Amino acid sequence: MDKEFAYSFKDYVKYGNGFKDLNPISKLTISLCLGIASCVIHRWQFGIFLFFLGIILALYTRVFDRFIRSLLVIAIPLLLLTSIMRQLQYGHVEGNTPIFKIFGWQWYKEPFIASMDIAWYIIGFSSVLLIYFLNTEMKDLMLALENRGVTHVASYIMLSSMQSIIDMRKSANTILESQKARGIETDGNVIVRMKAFFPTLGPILLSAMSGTEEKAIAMDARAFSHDGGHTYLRVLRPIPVWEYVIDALAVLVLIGSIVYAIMSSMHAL
Amino acid sequence: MSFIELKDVSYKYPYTKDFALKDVNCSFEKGKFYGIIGENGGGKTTLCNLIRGLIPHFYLGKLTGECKIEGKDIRDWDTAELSSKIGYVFQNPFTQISGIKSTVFEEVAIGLENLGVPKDEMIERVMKVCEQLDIGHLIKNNPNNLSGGQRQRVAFASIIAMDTDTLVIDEPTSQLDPEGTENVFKIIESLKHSNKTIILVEHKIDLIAQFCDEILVMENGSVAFSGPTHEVLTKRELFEHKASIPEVSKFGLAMEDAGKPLSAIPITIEEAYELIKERG
Repeated sequence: MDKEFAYSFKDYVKYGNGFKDLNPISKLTISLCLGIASCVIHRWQFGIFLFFLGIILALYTRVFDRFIRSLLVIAIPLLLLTSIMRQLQYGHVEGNTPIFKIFGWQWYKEPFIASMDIAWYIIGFSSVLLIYFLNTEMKDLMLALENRGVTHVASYIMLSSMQSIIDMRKSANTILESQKARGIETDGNVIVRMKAFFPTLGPILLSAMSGTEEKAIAMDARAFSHDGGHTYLRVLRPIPVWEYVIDALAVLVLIGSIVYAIMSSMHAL
Repeated sequence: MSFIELKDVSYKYPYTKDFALKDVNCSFEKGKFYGIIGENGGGKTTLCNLIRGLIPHFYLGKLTGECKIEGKDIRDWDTAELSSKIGYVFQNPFTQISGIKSTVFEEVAIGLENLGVPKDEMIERVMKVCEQLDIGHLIKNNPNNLSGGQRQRVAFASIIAMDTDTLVIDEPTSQLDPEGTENVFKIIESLKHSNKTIILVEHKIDLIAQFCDEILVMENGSVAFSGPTHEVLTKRELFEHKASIPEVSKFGLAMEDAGKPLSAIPITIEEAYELIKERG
């Protein structure tokens, strides 16, 4: 038995990385404040700033591959779509400044900047949230919430629901594989795949429902409803003062962004 | 006084016509190892559910008669309180994993967390149980990715770690290979030596014969036979009921039928060896 691993539980939860080791609620506060600020400011410059902040944090926390792959899936179609849509919607407005032509199609500066504002605030928001979820275990977040008074029942419901999704995906794959083994076509175009997939939904849902009953009994056997006090094997480290300072700064950025947005709109009036 | 006592207990699951238990009378004493055997659908699991308080608290339905745990009626017990007194391991290994822990070590500790056991004690207890159940090499694995047999051992470990006075174990070896089965029985036997009451449902009759103090044979929801293991397993009626009996007992009965009886009917290979040796 790996005794070092067993005894590691005596210590606080540690990942050995400054960002990962932040309290999950602190990380959530920072991410949400910056993400919402991105929506409120609604400028491509701030979105790009958050995107690069995301890249730096992704490199620091060694999740760059997953970060960039997930983000590009959103970013590239979003940038293309919003640009094209804006050019189609507002390209013909008189007084627009021409910037370049693509295959004879004239693009203008004003709708282009407006499209960049929309696309980048979404990319900025997605970047900080993605960094949060790539660096935060759900069980740590729930543990932090339990420390703030959320009941272990609510925490269990949240975590087991997420596991149920994984389990249901696994059983869907198993059923599809067994259908394949019986000669039913499961690969091919969308219609063929749908035809194979939809009949599996009934058995998947039924088995999930019957499993829930047994799982409830299993949890009851583990004294889940025991109300004589609850202890934890994993304990999050106490939040240091400097972490509260970072949280406060993030909240200040959000407040600043709201002020900026109000002033900008007043100026525009 | 018996620790668990059932008098004229009958039970019918909700929305069913037939009674799953019919006039069951039996009792369980502290520190003894009980085996429950019988055909599928005979009422073994229902009896376990009743002893563990899932009937009538979780499964509603119609319960009549008297079922007392430590002299208190099962209807008056709080299930949370009962969970710290009676541990329950059941058949299906796939639904016994909590689904919320990412390592086996944490999974085994889950009951202890719920019971409020201090962290240092929790770590020691989990380590001890993991070694006892030979799952020490799995402690870093994700319990959701284990095989059926491994999950069963992890579920078993998490209940043993809770250190309840009584253990109700429903077919713990259904997913295990012969070696794993024997290991589990050895662990159960060692639990018996620590003065725990064990109620085990199991089809592997040879192992039941080897380890249990007393046996209940369930048939159509009733207790067909009960008593000390040797007494029950050597009953000719049991053989005639087509109930599962050890191969060596069948051999002993066959010797009797052939007019060449041994001095007693054996129930274990060791006993059979001694009896044959005695005959010379």
